[in-house]
Amino acid sequence: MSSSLAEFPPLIKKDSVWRRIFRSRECYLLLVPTFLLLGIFNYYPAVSAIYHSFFSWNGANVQVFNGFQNFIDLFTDQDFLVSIVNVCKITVISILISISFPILAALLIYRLKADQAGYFYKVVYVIPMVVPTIVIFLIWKFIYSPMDGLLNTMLAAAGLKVFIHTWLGEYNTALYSILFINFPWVSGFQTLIFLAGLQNISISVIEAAILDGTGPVARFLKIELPLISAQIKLVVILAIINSVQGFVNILIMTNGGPGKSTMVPGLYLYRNAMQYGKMGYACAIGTFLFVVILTLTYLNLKYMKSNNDSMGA
Amino acid sequence: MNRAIRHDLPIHFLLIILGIVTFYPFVFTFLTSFKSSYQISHNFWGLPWPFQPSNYRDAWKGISPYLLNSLIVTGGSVIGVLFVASLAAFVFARFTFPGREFLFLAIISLMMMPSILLLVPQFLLIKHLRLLNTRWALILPYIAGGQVFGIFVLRSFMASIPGELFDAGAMDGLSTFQSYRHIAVPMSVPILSTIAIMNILGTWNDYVWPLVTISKNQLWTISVGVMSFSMSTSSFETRGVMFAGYVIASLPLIILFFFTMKSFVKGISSGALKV
Amino acid sequence: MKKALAILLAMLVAGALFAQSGTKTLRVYMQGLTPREKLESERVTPPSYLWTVAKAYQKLHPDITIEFVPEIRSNYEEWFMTQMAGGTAPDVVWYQRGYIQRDYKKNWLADLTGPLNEKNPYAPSYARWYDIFQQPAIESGRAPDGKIYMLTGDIVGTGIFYNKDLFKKAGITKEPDTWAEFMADCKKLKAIGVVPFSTSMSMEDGGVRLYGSWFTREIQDVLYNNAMDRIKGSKVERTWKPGEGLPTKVMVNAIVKGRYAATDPQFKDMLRVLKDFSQYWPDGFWAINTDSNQVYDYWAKGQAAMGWFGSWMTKTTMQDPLINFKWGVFKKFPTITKETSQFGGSEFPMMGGVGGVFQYAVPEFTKDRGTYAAAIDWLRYVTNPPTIVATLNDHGGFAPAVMDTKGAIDSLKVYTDMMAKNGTERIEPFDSMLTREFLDDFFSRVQVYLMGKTDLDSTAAGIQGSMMKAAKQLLQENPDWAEK
Repeated sequence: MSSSLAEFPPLIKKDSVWRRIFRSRECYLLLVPTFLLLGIFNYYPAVSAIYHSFFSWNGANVQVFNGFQNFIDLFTDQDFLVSIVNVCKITVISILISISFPILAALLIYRLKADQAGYFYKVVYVIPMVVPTIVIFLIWKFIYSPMDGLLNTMLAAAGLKVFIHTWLGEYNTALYSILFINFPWVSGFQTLIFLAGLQNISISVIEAAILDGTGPVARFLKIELPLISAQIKLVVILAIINSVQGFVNILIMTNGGPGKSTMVPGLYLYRNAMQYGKMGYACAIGTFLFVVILTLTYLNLKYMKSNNDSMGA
Repeated sequence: MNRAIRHDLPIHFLLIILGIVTFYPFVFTFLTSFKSSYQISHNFWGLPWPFQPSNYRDAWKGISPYLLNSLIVTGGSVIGVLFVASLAAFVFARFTFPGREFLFLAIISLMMMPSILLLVPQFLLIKHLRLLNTRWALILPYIAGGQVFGIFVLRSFMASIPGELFDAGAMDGLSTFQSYRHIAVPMSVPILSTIAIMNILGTWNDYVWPLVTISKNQLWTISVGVMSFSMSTSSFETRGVMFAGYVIASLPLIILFFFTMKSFVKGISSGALKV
Repeated sequence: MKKALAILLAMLVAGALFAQSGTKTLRVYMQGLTPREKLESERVTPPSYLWTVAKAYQKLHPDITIEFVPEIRSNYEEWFMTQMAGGTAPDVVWYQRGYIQRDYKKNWLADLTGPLNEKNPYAPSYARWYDIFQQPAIESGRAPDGKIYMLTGDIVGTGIFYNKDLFKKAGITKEPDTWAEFMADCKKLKAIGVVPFSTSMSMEDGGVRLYGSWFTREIQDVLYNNAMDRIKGSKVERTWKPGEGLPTKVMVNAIVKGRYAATDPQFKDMLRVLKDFSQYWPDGFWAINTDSNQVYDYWAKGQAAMGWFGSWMTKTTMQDPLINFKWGVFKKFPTITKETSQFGGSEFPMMGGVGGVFQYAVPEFTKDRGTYAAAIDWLRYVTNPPTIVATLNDHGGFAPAVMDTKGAIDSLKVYTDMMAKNGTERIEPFDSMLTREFLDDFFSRVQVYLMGKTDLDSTAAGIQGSMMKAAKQLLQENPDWAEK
């Protein structure tokens, strides 16, 4: 017999830890498959990576313990510091992107009076997810292509020659051009997640607002937006995880260039691990990123307001 | 009715523009799959004329042997993910027990480990377990990694299932596992299908992990097959074939979408995707 | 469960029986030479000759089966790293000069020096296996510890392809002979509104910045022509001879002792020539990470008048049905004369470099696996001059780096002859001169300079700092390298 949450809340508090553990043995049993798999395939490699971050290790035969030297080197490494600045920019912008346009699209669908049409748009926004990212990058490379790229051609046709750039080849534009990929950023799950949040708002709340004469904009800001804060929180967490770890977009689009202006920690980790043969150093970068993401997620969970109370209750 | 249409019209206009831009990569992939490599070089944005249907014959020949492998691997891992994740989520959502929060954080913190860093240690592990060149080399790590997000989402969903249902179940003498099996799982079908689709999208196109763990090409997955058509010093001409390969490889996903779209959207709409 | 066990048992028994019969499978990864069927969509016939070679070899050695590992066209580094770390790599792997510095101390690769000094039973007319090869090629596999870990059997030839119609339109009547004429022609082409030269400083191929690597090593070789002896501290002949090159070890000492520096007037002139030239490239291509085909596309579409392509593109270019202009290949690379740089005046070495597809290594763990001897024997068989020549003829994109090129098709043989005559670059190319961190740093600094964001002096000073750091690091790791 296990202890159902609703049944005996007072009892649980009185018992000793060991008795409570014993009483909950069935819970632990059901968690065994999860932790068995995680333990073998995820914790072991992860712990190995953290362990090796304290070594000078070439990934093969030379492994010398060097304490915190990798971390000390990391914070005097100019390339790494540049990458930290970049990843901060990327994270902030990615968060803004992943909550602005998807919320807009969700709101538009939500405001439709015809339900069937809403379903159609959901399908249209979801299907492109089957296109592999490598194809997306190829397309955007050609959109940004300096000579016959779509963007420059369109700017020239519109008489806006002053705005023509070699988008991926200039300091001021390269990083932002990469972030602009996938414009208008409504494909994928975020839009649907926000839409779900909006649709779960009870009609009486909205009707009351309309009766009060609240306009569409005020209604969005004062009522709808606060009520989807739990969804926003999830999307923000996922955006943080993706942008702090991510590097494939940078690797393919600029490979860190021009110069080192678009270097990010993920790419630097990749180079150290796969190309420079500096595995220990790569592990230190990875450990650092792990700690950063963990902290940000924790802060987000703890301090960002949420309309939802089912978690951690 | 008329008023509804008039109200919706400007919204449709905006949504259609967003839709066209969003849908374009899909259209592009499809069009390019009918071009030769030379046509791609000379006219990247242009229409595929003359048509190159041979791309599809080549691509089909090249990747069809791996279709079954991909189905087995993806199917196996998605079933595993759903089972393991729902079990764990059930426990986390419905019970309090010592260490609950710690164990939960221990699981979701794995979403934060850069995966490229795990490549070499994970590979060595699979080798020591003697799983190289088996489908398990793909399925087991996919389950292990894929369950994390599933647990994250399912936990809040299952927590929102009314407690009375479980109380009634307990009254009827259901064991913990039975109440999982007969109450929690049936109630969670829509969100389970959402998790399934998210998981399939992640594993279906994965390329590097199968590349390094499977050297027997009878066991390759479709993504490895498709990449064998990318350009190299011995072949400039297979790019069109590669695009045809992408289209063929995405067909099972599209079919899946069509059959599960309703349930998938319902799952997302259940409002469980939040924290 | 029982059934699974039974099957497993049966498989084990079958495996044991199979092993008993004494047949050994040799798994070889021949990269671009891996034989495969022609696709319906292809105009160019893919390589297939190694099937013939393998068949003949298996006839000679009935106990060995050659298995070709399919070509890996993406993420090769991840594949290589994991397979070497796990001891699961094939018995022969494709390798690159730029990897040696990083890997040679890892005990990953078998030392081929011994076998190379023995006779090759398939080519008995050579005293040693080593003697089959052109020396700049085989020597490029030598690590700083003096051992050869990589077998290099081919040459990448390159040439400047040009659009004859656009040349005519711009009023250019003959191929430029000097660099100054070349620049003047570029100016004329720019005046008629086309991009004079399609190239990229940033295109990466197998870990090497392809065009950047070619440009820097070629121009450097010319400008340092008279300073080589000083850098090395002993005689360096114009034509490459073993022991007369300037490999990593020599360069490290030269850098630390100040005999070679990025602040040298020669080095700065190399950067200056490059910068002057870069105004004729597609906009931004000094810094944009270019797709491996974008450079070709501009030229093939007629938007760029010239392009510098490798020999492996020749077949493709000839087959391209959509090229609608007459084209040719420059007979020689325009000479940098005194008019362009005070250090000019000597001809370019062989255009391109040693090692394309035919660069293979044998993993050390094949010795435990029991396939080492067979792997060596297979490589000996394949490098028998008539065989390697026929194999590379069949591929058509790379020239044989062997002494006896009898039977080689003319369009390839020309590169081998060119190397025999002009030699190859003598200073170790930047891709393998120091560390790969240095390589990345070097090219990002060059990019920034070509963008016009830094001036010549600060660029040179920046490169020098990075170069010195790398050289000192290597010297620290290898104290025995230091000159007395």
